[in-house]
Amino acid sequence: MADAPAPEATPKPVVPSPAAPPKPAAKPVAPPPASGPASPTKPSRKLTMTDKVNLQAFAWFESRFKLRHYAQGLRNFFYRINMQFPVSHTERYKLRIIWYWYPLYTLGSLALLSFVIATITGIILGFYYVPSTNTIGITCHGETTSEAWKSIGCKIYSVPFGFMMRQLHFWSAMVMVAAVFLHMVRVFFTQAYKKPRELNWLIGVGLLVFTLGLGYTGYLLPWSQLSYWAGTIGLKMALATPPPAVGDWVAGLVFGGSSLGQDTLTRMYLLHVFLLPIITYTLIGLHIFIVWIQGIAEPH
Amino acid sequence: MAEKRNEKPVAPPSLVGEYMAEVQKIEAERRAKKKFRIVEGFPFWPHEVVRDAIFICFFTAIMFFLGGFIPYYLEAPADPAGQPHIILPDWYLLWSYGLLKIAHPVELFGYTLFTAKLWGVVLNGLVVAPLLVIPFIHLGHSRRPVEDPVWAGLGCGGLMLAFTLSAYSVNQTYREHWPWIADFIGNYEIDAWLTMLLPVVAFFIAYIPLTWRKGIEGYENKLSRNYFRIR
Repeated sequence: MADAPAPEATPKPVVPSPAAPPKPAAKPVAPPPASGPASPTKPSRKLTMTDKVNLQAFAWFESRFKLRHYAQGLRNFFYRINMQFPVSHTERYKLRIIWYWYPLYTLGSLALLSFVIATITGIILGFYYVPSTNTIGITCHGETTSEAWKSIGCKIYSVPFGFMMRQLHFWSAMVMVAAVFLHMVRVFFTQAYKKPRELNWLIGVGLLVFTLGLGYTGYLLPWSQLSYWAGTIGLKMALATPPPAVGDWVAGLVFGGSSLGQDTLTRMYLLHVFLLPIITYTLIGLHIFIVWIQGIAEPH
Repeated sequence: MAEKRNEKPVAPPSLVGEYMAEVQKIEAERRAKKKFRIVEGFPFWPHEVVRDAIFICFFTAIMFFLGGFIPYYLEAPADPAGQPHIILPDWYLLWSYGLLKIAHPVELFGYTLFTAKLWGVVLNGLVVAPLLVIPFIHLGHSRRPVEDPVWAGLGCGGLMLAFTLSAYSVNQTYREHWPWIADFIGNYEIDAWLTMLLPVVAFFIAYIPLTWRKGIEGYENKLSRNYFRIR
C-alpha cells in the first residue's frame, strides 16, 4: 500500500491512502483552489477498492516512468499535426518581401541524409572489402590485381545488390560533398554565421574539411589507377609541408612513409571507416544541437 | 475558431484525469518561476522537420535513381609503373590541385622565399584560412546580399575562384577534348591570368548592381518594413 515512494521533487498529492495521508510538505506552494471537483485531497466521488488499486498502480508506474510526459507529448504531436499547419516565417511576421529560397535551407539535411546512406551502404561494403595491396596469385578478368581492387571491382558483383550498394555509396558521397559545399554557400550569402552562430560556422568549416577527407580516403581504397596517383599527389603535398621534418612526420603518419604501399592503404582504411566517421558524426551532432537551441537563422 | 481548436483538450473527469491535472498544475507553477532563454529564429519543430521530411524522401529517391541509372565503374588496377597521361583527383579536390599547378616560385630581390611546391601547399592553407575568421571580422546586422554588397561580392569572387582553379587544373584535358578553346583563349599563361582575374570580375559583377539597388532611397523599408520593425 505505502510502497508508492515519493522522490523529493515529485509530490503525489492525489493518491488517497488511508494509512498514509499526503504530507503537507508535498503540497504545492500556492494554496489549492477553493472549489472544483479536481481538488487533490478530496476526490470527486467515493473511491471503491478497484479505484484505489487502479490508481495506486497508475501512480506507481507514473512516478517511475513519467508516463504523462509521453502522453502529453503524443497529444501535443497529434494536435500540432492535425490542427496547426506550420506557418512560414514570412507569414508569421507579415513580411512584405518573399524569401522562397526555402529549398536552400534543407541542404544541411541533405548532407546528413547522404552521409547516413553512405554509412549504411559503407557498412555493407565493408563486409566484403579487403584492405590489402597483395597481388600474389589473384586474378580478375584475366589480369593480376590487388586484393583491394578485386574485392570492390569483382567480388561485389557476386553479392546480391552488391553493385547497387557501391553505386549508392558513390552517389551519396558525391551528393554529400556537393550538399555540404552548397550549404556553406547558402550560409555565407544569407550571412547566417553572424552572432550568435560563429561557433557553428567554425564547426561547419571543420565538417567541410572532414567531408573532403572522407572523400579522399574513400577513393584511395579501391587501389585503382585513380587511387594510386591521387595518393601520390597527396603524399607529395604532405612531404612538402613546411618545415621538412614536419612534412616527413605527416607523410609517415598519414601515408605510412615516403612511398605508397600496404601501410598507406591500411591507414586510409582506418581513417575512412573508423576515425573520420566518428569525428564527423560527433561534429554533426554538435552542429545540429546548436542549431536546435539557437533556431535557424532568420530567412527574412 | 482556429484558436479554439488549438487549445489543449480538457482532461476528462476521471481519477486519472484529476491526478494529471494536479501534477500538471504543480509543474506549471514550477515552470512559471523559471526564466526562459529567448531564441532568435524560427522553431526547429515543426517548421524545419516537416520541410526536411519532404526533402529527405525526395532526395533518397534521387540517390537511388542516380545509383541505378548512372553506373560508376572502377578504373584499372593501380600500376605504379604505368603513370597515366593525365593525373587528376576527384572533382571536389580540383581547386586544391589547381592551386598546386598554378603556384610559381616566390622570389623577392633575387632570394627564393618559397619554392613552387611549398608555395602551392601554403596557398591551400591561405585559401581555407579566411573561412575561419569570417564570422569574427564581418560584424553588423545585415542578413541579405543587398544589405552588404561588399561581402556578397567577396562571396561571388570566392565561388568564381573555386571554379576557375578547378578549370585551371583540367586545362590540359579540355584543350585536348575541345581544340577550339585553345584557339579562343590562347596559351596556358592566359589560363593562369584568367584564373586570377575572373574572380575580381565576379566581385564587381555582384558588387555594382547590389550597390546600385541599395542606393535606391528607401529600398529596404519598402521591401520589408515589417522585418525592420520586428528587429
